[in-house]
Amino acid sequence: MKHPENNKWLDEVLAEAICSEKSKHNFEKWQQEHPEAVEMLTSRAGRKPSASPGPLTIRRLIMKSPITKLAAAAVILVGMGLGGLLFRSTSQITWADVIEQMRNVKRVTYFLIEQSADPSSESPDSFRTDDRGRIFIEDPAQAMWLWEGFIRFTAEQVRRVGTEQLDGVETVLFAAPINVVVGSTTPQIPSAKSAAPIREVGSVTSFTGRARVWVDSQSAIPLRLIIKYTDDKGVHHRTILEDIRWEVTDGE
Amino acid sequence: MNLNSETKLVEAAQNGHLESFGALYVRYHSSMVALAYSMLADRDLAEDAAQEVFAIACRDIGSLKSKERFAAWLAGICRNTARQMLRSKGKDAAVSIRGPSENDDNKEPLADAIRRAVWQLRPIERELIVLRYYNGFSHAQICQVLDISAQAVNGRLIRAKRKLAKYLKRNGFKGDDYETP
Repeated sequence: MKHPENNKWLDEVLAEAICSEKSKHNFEKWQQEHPEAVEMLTSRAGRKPSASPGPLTIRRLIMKSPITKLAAAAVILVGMGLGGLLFRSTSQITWADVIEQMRNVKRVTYFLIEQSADPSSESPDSFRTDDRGRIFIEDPAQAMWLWEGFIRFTAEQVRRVGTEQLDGVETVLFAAPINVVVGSTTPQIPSAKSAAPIREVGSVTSFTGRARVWVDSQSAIPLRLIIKYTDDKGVHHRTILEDIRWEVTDGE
Repeated sequence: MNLNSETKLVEAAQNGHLESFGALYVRYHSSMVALAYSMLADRDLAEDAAQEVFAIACRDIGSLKSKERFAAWLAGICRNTARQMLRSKGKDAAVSIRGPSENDDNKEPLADAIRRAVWQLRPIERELIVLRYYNGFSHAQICQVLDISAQAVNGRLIRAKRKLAKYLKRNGFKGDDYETP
């Protein structure tokens, strides 16, 4: 089978259609246009580099002696016990609580990992790809879009699976069947209002899959999300949003 | 690309050495223009975005902890800047997806079809295709900017090109020797 990567025709037409003459970079001109940024950079000259991080020093101090190790372990155990007591009293959150919290979201950032596995592929290169990045969404409508458009599952279908520890945080795990939209819609589409329908442009394909959401048991905001689906070519996809940070408005 | 020297350049820039920042500017300016172009679909806007990216980087370079990930950090700033420009210019995804049209000199149907096809790819694939063909960046440069492995670049490039070929075939364009899988 001929490999598309080697296809000269496609390479040529792509190069013709997209290729640009070398973009002009003129650092001198850039400096003149951004004096404040240059000033900020040059003002760093002569500053001492920051000292070694504090936590590492504390860790070294603790790990030096068996007594401090035991003391630290006791503190952690007491902390976990207290945390457990608190958690039992507040972990009865429902999906409705989660949705309510997200309606107040001002901005969300998350760490994205995308993986796909094509069982039929002959090329080992195309078995798995990872993509990591942080996306900032400064519009509450987009946060809702991200949630209700991209993931597309309704509150009735979400079921509570149980509780789990996630990076030391007590979380409630929810799961739901989902409808993943792949194609021209992207999370950066600004929708007019959170209640407005999501605008889909160009070719859009929907796939059904499953989602799992880890929600902070205290604040009822999602911390991690995993979406799994298989596309029409049989390729399995897994999208992970982790270290999700929701900035909540103060009710403006 | 010598990563050691790049780390040194970043470190020097963090210590206020303007010439080192200038060297980083020269090294990554084109790739930032290409990355912004993949989102904005407008060459002039992409140039503006790249200028802004370096202004932000210049101000915030002190906050960069992983010096060896400078390119990926810069790319993150670039994506945010381009998104903000899309919003402030009142552009939406529909504009992006149509791809460049009015402002481009080349009106050939095949070139238009190619660009339409490229702008219908998923954003991560579109970034890759544009970086690869905008200024002919090497796989190593793309790996650095997109912060993904060479295998991931290869795999994703293959899939994106298959999609493009299918789209073109559906629209009546076909290379003589092309085989879709």
